[in-house]
Amino acid sequence: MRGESGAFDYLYTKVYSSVERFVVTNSGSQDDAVDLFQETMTAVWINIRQNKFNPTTVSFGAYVLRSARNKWIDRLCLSDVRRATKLGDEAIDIVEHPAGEAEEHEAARLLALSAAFDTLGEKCQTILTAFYYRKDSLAAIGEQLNHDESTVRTLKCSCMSKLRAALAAVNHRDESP
Amino acid sequence: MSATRDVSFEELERFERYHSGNMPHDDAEVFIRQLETDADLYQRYHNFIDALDVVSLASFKSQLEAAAQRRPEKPRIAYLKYLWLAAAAVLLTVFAFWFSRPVSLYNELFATYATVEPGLPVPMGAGGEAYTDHFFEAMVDFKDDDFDAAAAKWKALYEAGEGGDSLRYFLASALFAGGAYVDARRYFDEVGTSRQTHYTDRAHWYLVLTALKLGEEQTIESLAVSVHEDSPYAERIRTIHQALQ
Repeated sequence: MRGESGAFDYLYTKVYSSVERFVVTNSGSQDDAVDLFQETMTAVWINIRQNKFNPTTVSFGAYVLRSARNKWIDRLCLSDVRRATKLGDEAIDIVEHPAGEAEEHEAARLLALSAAFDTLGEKCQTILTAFYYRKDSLAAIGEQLNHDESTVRTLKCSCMSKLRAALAAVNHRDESP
Repeated sequence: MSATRDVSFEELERFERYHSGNMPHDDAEVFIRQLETDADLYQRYHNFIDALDVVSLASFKSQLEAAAQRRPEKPRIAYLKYLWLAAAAVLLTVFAFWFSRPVSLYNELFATYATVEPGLPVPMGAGGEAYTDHFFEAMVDFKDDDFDAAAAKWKALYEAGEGGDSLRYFLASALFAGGAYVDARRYFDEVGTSRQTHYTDRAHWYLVLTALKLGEEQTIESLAVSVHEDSPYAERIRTIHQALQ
């Protein structure tokens, strides 16, 4: 866990500062930079899951920066703020970066589904995160929650049922006209 | 069985074993065959994968938010302007004591004013993806204080004939930060020579610092005369020039 925290701290120390500098020097605020970074990292997570990030061709930091830059350009174009920007002499040449529709759709779908997780109780969130994300053993989770292993196993199954139900509700809501 | 029915305890653990690669080979083959022929089972397994993705994404976002909370609060940009003014006032007071110490004056002025670019502005540069990737890789090196690596990457792009003033400025900044002042001057000199650009004033300021480091009074005088009136560095440049007289 400490190693993971270190990796996230590294992201904020090294990569976020570049994203912030980019946004602030291109018509944005520091709050915009925070939002953009969170959004970019979510998109990067989805791309990694879909094997769309190739670490042999580009470093992770550069990949995040490029993604953030493209997202910010999209946002500027949409809001038409670009006309009012004080960009550098070569800054106006917007790089074409057509995002695949299927990718965008999948990312939007996952983001919508992720809201279902927030509807779960704290204990369920803890158990599911520990078991499926951190890959902790049932015994270790039991120790943390003061339960025996079989109780955690049952709770985990019950929490997954609740999550599935919440996901079905989100899906149903999104499919409704 | 239907796709919407609840997943049993046993079925959930079967999905987990297959997904984690802990299912024996023969059992996995049977499971795959069932997935191919049983649409409801396939849908339930697909829903299970969605649930895992949701757990992972939510946990990832939570860790990211925790890291954002741990990040030390940085002063706001507007606030920094006042810090500069306060620092300038302190420096002007300090200069009064320096008039009688000409021998070390250049070094002391340099030590007072010279800073490695705290964060290069990231341009929306032109160029293809390969250019952009190399450019940003150098940016990450720069942020890692690996100035030599950053300079080497930006120089390769420069020599390939890519980029404009921003690339020249970034290359010069990396060379300056790495202590290669003479090389840095060449690229700072090239920034905005034909017209005023985003980087012209900053490059002019770094030319002054470079001349200060190299002890070139005439160059500093010439740069103090030629600085644009509306440059944010004009006052500092004139202060340095006066301190040297």
